[in-house]
Amino acid sequence: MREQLSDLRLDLETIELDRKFCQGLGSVYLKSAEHAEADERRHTLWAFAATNFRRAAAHAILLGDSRSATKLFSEASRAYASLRMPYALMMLALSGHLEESSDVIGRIHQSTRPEIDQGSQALQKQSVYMLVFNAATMRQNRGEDSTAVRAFEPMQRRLGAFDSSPIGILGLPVGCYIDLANALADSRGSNIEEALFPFLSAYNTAMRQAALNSFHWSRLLMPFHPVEPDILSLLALTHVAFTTRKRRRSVFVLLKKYPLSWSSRAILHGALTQLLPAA
Amino acid sequence: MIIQRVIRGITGISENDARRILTVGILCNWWYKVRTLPRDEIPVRLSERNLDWHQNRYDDPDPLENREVFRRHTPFISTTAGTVERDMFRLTNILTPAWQVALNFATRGLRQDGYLFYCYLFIIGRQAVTLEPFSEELRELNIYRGFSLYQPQGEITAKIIIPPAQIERAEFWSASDALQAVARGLLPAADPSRTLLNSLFVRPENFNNVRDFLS
Repeated sequence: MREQLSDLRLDLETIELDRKFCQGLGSVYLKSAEHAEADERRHTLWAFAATNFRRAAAHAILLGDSRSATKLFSEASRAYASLRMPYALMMLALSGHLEESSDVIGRIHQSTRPEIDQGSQALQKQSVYMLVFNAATMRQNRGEDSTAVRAFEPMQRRLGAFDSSPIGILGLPVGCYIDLANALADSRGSNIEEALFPFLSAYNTAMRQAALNSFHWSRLLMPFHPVEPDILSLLALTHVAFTTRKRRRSVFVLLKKYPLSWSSRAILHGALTQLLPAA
Repeated sequence: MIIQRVIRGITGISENDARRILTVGILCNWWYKVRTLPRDEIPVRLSERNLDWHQNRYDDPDPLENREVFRRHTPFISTTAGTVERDMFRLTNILTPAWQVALNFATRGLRQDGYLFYCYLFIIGRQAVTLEPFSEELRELNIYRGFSLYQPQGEITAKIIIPPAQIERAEFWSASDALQAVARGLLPAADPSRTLLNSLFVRPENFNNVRDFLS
């Protein structure tokens, strides 16, 4: 991936410096959160830490440093879990440490929720990440009896109330995530290609729009990242679903079916090659 | 109306330049270019088209201005407030303090030193591109309606000038000092001996509804 940065009109030095800075800031904010006395302040500091680790991890992939990337995604996962945000599971999927999922889910579900979380609809919408994660990782198909399968339907019904609400950096509707979860949980997995389409299409559009703005693009002066973890995590979970259910399908073959720009395809292919163990 | 605290990062200026800015205000690039501002052109320049170009086509040749790059004649001034609403973080999963965003701009991605100007702006909570006194918020979270890749940065776009009365101070930031601080596990900070306070500043606390930036 590193060799392609100049073709992508991205500046290597800027990315290296910002990676160091974000990684360092993530650690500083994490340490500050441990010493914060007020709940509200501690949450803000965790959020700063999570955001910085997430960005540093995405930078590391651009730099071809997959080892640092997985470590940083783990750090991000822990920080989001401290905030009881199910988005922690998406970061976990990118860290490759799926064996830690019960621990992360345990932290997200901690019974004592601070007052500032009460009644937050945004936090309820976050459950859609858990729905997708469960759909990708459960060993049984829908219709079979297991705790994971039994938990799936009620969670899906609750999220239906937010079907058209936007979530994530690209603002895709919650309904798109529900569709993907259904496709991943389906025994044949026949709708996965269609369910992934809105995400890849939005990513491709965002890449084109971002690259048009050469001032912000070359310096990555924007919250959207070319190695966008929101999209990459969904592809990583699709890979997990394929391997967990022993489906003879590959996320790389799937990716080839979409009409993506050269840069979108190069980045997604390069990132998945670094992150997926069997790639 | 809300009085919003914001930070503006400016790169490549000397201490004298920073002092001058505290005296005359932060001007838009168009004003710097024409030197004497043609007031009658302001309503034409403050358009949705130009705001869109300011956000998305900043470095592109502008066909309406003999293909001069847009940034040379933008009537807008970018500032940042960070993401202010807690629920916005839960929807985007991204929360960055205002100083970090501003520092990135001020130091060209931590490669040179720069200044952070601490200001306040007036916002009215809805789009008012043609109204010069009010700044624009970029907070919409919807790819199908006004989606912006830059929205979670909490960008607030000022128009034509941020007057001296609204600029509290200018902080000098060394890029290498900031990098060294985080490497030592410390939160970076400006050198207090090089911070310039503005005697022309009018405290916003004299008014109602002051909303702080994210720190």
